Amino acid sequence: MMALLRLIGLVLVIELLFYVLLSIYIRSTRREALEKEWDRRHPEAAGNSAPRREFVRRSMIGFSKTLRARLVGLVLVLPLVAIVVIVILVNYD
Amino acid sequence: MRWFLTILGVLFGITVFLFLDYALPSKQTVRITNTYNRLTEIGANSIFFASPDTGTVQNSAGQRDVRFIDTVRPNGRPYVYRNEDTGWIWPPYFKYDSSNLHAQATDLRSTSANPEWVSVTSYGWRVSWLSIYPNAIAIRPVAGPDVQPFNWGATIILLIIGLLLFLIWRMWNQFRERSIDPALRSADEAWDRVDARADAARDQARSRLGRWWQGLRGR
Repeated sequence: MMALLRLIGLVLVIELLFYVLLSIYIRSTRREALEKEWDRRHPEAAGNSAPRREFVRRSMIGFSKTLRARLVGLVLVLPLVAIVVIVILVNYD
Repeated sequence: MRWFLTILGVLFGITVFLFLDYALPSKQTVRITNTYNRLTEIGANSIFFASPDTGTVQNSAGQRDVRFIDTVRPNGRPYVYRNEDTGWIWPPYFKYDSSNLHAQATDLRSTSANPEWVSVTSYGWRVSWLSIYPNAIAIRPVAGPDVQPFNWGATIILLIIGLLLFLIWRMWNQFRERSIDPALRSADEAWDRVDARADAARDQARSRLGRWWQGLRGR
């Protein structure tokens, strides 16, 4: 029983770590894409500036509701699925 | 310094290879000759056995009743597997059906006169002078000694590890490009400003010192 709890704790910690890292990562890639989009639309005002920061900030509103951001939640599910698949393959196949 | 880092890198690579070689599943076509359990002395080689709290009881003398599967390879050489539960932590096979596997192995025993070949999936090494044995995970009957089923398990695990490393590499690059490099640039600029201010202060101090010196000399 203790070993099972230890496994659950360990998997949870690793999953949460990757969840946080991945959310930061996809936010970062989205912001970069938005900055490039601004530079493409305003070639004369390219580069870091207050209007561009404002544009990125406004465009990022609601990003956590998009499918892309929600798919990161799979990180909490897939390892569990993998463990169940291994248990079935090793013990019941 | 460079040779030191090279040696360190080579040692790291060998360690990773040995680790994967030990922990990943491997398949071998063998013929089972005997199955039994034996009170086994577990001492310094205990990391090559299951952790003690999984399915077996260890007595105060450090001995454990371990199931073994004796086999013969197609080239006639013997090979011995152990058959132990792995428990919930390491290595992550989550095997708890050793009794069933033992029943199956016993059922598939054969003699050299009338051989019955099986493919045994296992992880671990057989090192006789350390008394360590690979742990059998699954047994499947095959048509003959030349049949070598493809090792899908290890292939898929290696692919997943590769994808994870690629993801971590991409994440690190993104972090460096957007967080570390700008910070370094602004630190550089700040340092330049500090430097310029220090230069100005030094010039000022020098001229003040010069005035004081000239005043001292009475000019």
